[in-house]
Amino acid sequence: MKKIIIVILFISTSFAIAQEFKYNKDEIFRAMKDEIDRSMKDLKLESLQKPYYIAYTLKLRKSSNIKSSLGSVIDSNSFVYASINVDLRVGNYKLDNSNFFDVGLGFFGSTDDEEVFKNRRIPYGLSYNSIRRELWLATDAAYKQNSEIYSKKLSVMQNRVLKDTTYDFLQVEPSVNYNIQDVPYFDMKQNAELVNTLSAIFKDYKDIYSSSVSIENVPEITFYFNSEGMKYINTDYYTGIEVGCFTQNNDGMPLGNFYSNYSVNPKDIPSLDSLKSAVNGTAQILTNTCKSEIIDEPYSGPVIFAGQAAAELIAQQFAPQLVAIRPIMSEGGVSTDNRNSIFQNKIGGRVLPEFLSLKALPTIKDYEGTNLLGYFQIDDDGLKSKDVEIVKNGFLKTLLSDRVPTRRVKQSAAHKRGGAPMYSTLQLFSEKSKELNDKQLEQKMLKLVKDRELPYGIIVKKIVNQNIMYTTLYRTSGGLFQIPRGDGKLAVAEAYKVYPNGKKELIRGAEINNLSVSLFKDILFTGKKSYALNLLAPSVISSYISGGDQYVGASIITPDLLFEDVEVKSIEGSFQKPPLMSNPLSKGE
Amino acid sequence: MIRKNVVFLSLLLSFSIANASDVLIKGLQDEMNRTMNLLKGEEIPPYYIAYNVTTLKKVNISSKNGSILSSASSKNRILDIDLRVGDYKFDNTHIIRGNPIQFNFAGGAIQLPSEDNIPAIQNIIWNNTDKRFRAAVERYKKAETNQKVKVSEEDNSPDFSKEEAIDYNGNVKDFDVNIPQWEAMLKRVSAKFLNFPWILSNNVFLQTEVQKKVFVNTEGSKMTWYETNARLFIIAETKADDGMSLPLYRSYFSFAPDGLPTEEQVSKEIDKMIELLNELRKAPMAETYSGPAILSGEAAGVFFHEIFGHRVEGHREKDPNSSQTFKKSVGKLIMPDFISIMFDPTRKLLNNTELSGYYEYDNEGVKAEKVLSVDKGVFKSFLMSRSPIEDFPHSNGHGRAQAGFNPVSRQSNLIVESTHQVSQDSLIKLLQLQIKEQNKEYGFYFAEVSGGFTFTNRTIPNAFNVTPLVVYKIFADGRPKELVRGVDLIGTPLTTFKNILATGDDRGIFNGICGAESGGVPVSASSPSLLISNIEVQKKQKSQAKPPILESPKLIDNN
Repeated sequence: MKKIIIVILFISTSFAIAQEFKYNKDEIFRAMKDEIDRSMKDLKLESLQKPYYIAYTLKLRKSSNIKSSLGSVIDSNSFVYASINVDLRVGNYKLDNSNFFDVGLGFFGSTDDEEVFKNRRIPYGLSYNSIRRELWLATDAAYKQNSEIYSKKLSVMQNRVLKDTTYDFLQVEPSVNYNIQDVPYFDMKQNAELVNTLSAIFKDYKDIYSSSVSIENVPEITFYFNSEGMKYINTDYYTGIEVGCFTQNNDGMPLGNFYSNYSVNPKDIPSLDSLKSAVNGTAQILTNTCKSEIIDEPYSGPVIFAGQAAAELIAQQFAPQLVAIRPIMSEGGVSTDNRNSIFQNKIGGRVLPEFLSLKALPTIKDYEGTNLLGYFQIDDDGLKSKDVEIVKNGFLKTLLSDRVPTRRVKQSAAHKRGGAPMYSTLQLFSEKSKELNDKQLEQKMLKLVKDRELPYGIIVKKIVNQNIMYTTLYRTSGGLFQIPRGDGKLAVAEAYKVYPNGKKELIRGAEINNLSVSLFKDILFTGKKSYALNLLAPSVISSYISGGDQYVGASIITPDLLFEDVEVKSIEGSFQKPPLMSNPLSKGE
Repeated sequence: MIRKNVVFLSLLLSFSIANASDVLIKGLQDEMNRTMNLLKGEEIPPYYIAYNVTTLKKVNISSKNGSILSSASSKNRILDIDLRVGDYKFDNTHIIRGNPIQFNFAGGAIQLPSEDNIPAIQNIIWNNTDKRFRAAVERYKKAETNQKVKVSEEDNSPDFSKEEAIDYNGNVKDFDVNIPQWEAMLKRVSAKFLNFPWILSNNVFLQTEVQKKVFVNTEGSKMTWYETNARLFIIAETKADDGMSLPLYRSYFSFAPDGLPTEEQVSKEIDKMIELLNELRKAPMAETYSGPAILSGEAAGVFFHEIFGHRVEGHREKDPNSSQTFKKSVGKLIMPDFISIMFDPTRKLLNNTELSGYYEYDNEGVKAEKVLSVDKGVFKSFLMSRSPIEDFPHSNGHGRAQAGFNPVSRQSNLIVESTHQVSQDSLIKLLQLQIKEQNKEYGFYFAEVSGGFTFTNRTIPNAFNVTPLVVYKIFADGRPKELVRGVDLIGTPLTTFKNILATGDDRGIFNGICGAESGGVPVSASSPSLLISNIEVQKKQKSQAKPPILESPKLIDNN
């Protein structure tokens, strides 16, 4: 058996996350191995098969959050927790219980008071005895449920004509990898002062109804062991600052703006001056937006997506299509109905203009000084991360996969992240001939505007991030912020009309409409410089199905993008009227 | 010794929940007055506003199998707004008949800064008050039309009672929890379960809470008071060979952590639970049954809480969908004349046990009052919030709610008293006599219950369900009692009251959290044990999951 040992930073067998708790890795792995060994040997019910594969994932996580409004903390918590996931498979690599969704158990869970085996909360003291006890009960429940699912799957298959003979699970060479890093200390008091200082800035913006500034720090250590001999420890952490502010125009139109900065290390947080400037800028843009005009008629024409907007556009519309998704079978047959499945059969086809290429670069730690959230060393299956050329000269080469093969992707690209295949760092590369500086790009757009006899073109500078939309803006607004409904829509936080004479005018309450991935083939030119965006991206495969994370840290690196034709329109709806009373912050004015 | 672990303080502390509330009160009053002023010109202006601010300091520590599962302490502040448009007689809270959706949800807990940053607090209050005002006007108009299109109401009482304004500044109550010592203690006691592999789940946890309440309203009330509690829970669960899950619970309540049991007491209780669980998993299943039974004091307390208490919560008498069991019962005999029932939120202690249903003021800022609900079997009074009903025009301080919910009338400390008390031996003999008279082989003794639930709506049968954990068969021929499992106690209220024959000379006390439309509120129920001539039991829901296939892993010595 080939074993690769990677020791990135090894401190000792006894280690502490932010001095909150200690663990003994040998004790943890011993408990995992002992329980796997006896389960593989003895776990069997009557005529049912034994498991052919068992994997244990144990996570230790510390979550610290502070939220502040107008200079005072309104919520603060910090806690440690541990959980285990049991991946137990019955059958064989070719055909097992996986890739099958039991509608009853999947949606409602067992009615039989069964032990939990996905995200099972366990004591974080992590003694051998305690871990064994938890693994024993969780493995037992996983075996019983998955044996039942395996049998159901076989029954369903007997009644259906199925041509796809793709294996359910890939065999890989086991290895041992230790990525143990010291986790930087997160000072709650100091960070409370930071968010209070930043949130107090909004006191000066009387037109803003509500606002919040929050900081989150989540270090995590993962221990993994499976029956094939794969074993790893992985350290992962991030720190995020999120700023949200909300107001309404006189006609009731709900308007929000935000700022986010996700860093790998708390030390990477921008300086106080830089953050103050960002918060002031965010507040000022919202204040200005409130006083600006809407787009009277829906706009259809050339649009430049600049900086954050270009990265966010890729993150929301293009990147989710780059993940290999195995169609799930259920009692009702095989479902291929997934809005992120458009590229599953497009390998070899053109998905971007021929001057553009796109790579997944999980091995790149930073980009021009920005530490990337999409960087990782070991994926959830224990495989060493590797860069992947996904789109070459406009043509789709492959998709990002894990150990679950699909008809077109038969190997793992070592991209299991947060419990399912997921993108990491994606970088868009353009041919030099199509790269323009800011002014040239704008001129190209205005040329198109003139050709189409449009009064103006549009530059989008900020698109609302999906995570922030739900967790920050919607809450800060008390439910008034309008979340775009339906596919192909994006909420715009900052966009400008650009007139042929060069005049720029801020647009109020815009959303992008009818977007589709095929639109990316119509990118005409790109900017010269690239922008790196760290984001918490929604998992492409629902955490509900995978049992993993809802959001996964990712990075998008892209230049500005000029699209030939994009639809932008004003948000519509029966808005709630603005407050009847004046904001008490404006007392004395 | 745990008793030494915590310090109960009546003085102001630096990291204390207690701080000058004058600044906060003034900030709340200023915004309240500003709102009344700014909205007085509206078509339907507010006639009443109350701001209820609860500052909570919490500690939660949970332990399992000798390790800490979670340990967290927090401090936060929650705002509740009661804004009414119309007038006391008819306002936006008026019931809308015929609409199946009548949620009492107040819009969720509104978070405020924990410190007295008045501009920040006023900004949040303004934003939320504006939303509440608009919602109130919308609902008021709906209610107005609803009244016109429906038949005359049976109860024409006003929607809101007029109560005296109160100016009150209560004594500071606060405590700190020695978290490391509690963690160590909980780990030690929960480790006992590790030696018993057939105990599949266990949890020993501590929850403490210090609440500072600040209340102001447009009637002139201006109040500050404190509520504290500390609870210790032990949960352990095993499985019978037939798959039935068998849990046991122990809970302890005190107003401060130093009133909770010592480590030695907890340890002994865990030993007893382990022994009982071992017996339970081998105990035979009971069958469906109708006949005589005894309810222990604790079980009887829950029984009265479910079948009586929820039916005397006054606001239900106004609701045309409610069964209104006792609406026309005032002055009438509704149960044996040896039974009296009171609700006493002013009582802190009963038989040396602290009562969790104690409070000084309710969530509508009304002083808590003792209510004699049944006097020698005759029904006397409902529990009243500020929502009056026919013949009960005022609140008796029972308008209660969890933060984030609208208050309605809820129970406090339910205390059952009896003038027909017999010794425990005599009660058993009376039971055996009943069994013989009814030609049965056995009766039941319900020793422990986990809780229960009841339905008070007209659209479904008005049944109750009490969920026993420990039940014995008592045989008529004097055979030793037999532990059984797998039954729930069910019935309907009026029939069951009539069947109470006698009570014991003991008293059981159940401290718990009661959940209903205004959220979870702390309550207690205490009663002597009861002999009932006829009860019914039905089979309990049973898991079909087999016990674990493999034996529990062998423990290793960590030392």
